[in-house]
Amino acid sequence: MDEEEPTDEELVRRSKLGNTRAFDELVTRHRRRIFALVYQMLGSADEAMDVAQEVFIRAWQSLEGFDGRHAFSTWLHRIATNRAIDICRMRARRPQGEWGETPDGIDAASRTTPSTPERPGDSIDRAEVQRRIDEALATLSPDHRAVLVLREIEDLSYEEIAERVGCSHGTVMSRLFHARRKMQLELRDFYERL
Amino acid sequence: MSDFEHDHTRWLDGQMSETERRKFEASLDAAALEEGVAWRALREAMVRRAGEIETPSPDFFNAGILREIERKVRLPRAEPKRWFSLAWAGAGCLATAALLSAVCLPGAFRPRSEADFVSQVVSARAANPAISAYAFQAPDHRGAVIWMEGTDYIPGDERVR
Repeated sequence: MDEEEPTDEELVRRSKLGNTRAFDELVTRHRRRIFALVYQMLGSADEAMDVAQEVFIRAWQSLEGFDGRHAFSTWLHRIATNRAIDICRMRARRPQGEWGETPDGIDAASRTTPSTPERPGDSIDRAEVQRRIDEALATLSPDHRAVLVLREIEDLSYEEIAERVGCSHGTVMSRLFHARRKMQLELRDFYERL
Repeated sequence: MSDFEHDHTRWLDGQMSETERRKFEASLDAAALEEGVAWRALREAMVRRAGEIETPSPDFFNAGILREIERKVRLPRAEPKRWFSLAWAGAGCLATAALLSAVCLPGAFRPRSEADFVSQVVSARAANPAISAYAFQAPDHRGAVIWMEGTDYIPGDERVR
């Protein structure tokens, strides 16, 4: 008879008792999502590796405080988001205002549709898409990248993003607007073929 | 943030009511509408991309975490042991010193009565009842210490009457 796989809750319970094997299983289950989140927010695989590991270590140290009101994955995700945002803030070279954060050289009214028409049968290699998206994300300021990733990939609401990032609802929307513009500009030569 | 930016963001996120959406789209030209469609395609590509990101060297990733956790687990357990050992070492030293004193200095532990070294100050007067004074006098009368409790700070060069 197959042994039933323990739930996250069960693994958390065992981890709280000091069972590192149980925690290892939790790491295995959640590492991909946490790494992907941190990687997309920071834009560096090496740094994301270190930070994602740190997230799990922090989670282990804080397990006593995890009350199970939310899913373990949600709790872990929050630790990862907060840590990535902290790092983004530390990295920020210059402060940005709450409003009117138009990134350099982008006209809010600019057109971002491709300048070249789509060619029939034109297909884009998947690896090329990955590379271009990663490069485009890397051109965003840390604040803009964080907001964009949390909204588009993690599907958080404006309110949730505002709370995580520590800014106003309006700032979240403004950052989203400009981050999207910038992404469209960076990818305008091919994004309609995606 | 302009109204356009606000509305455009809500439009792309599907946060508008049907009426709002129709009204907003009517205000856009064909190119702007195309942008919206293109963004949705880009968003899907980003989500796909996120789903394809793999943790590099997953075994190494886990091993690094476990190594650090085990190191942290060991540290707090090592602390009490070290303190415990230090406490025993200190107690041992004190016991040895006491034993040596008892053997080498006969009479060192002769019980003394309070009268051997304490004199009570019977005429201390102070405005503050919290102040009290005691005198400690050496048995050979070569010196005495007056100990006052409850006083404010008194500079070293202050003359005490």
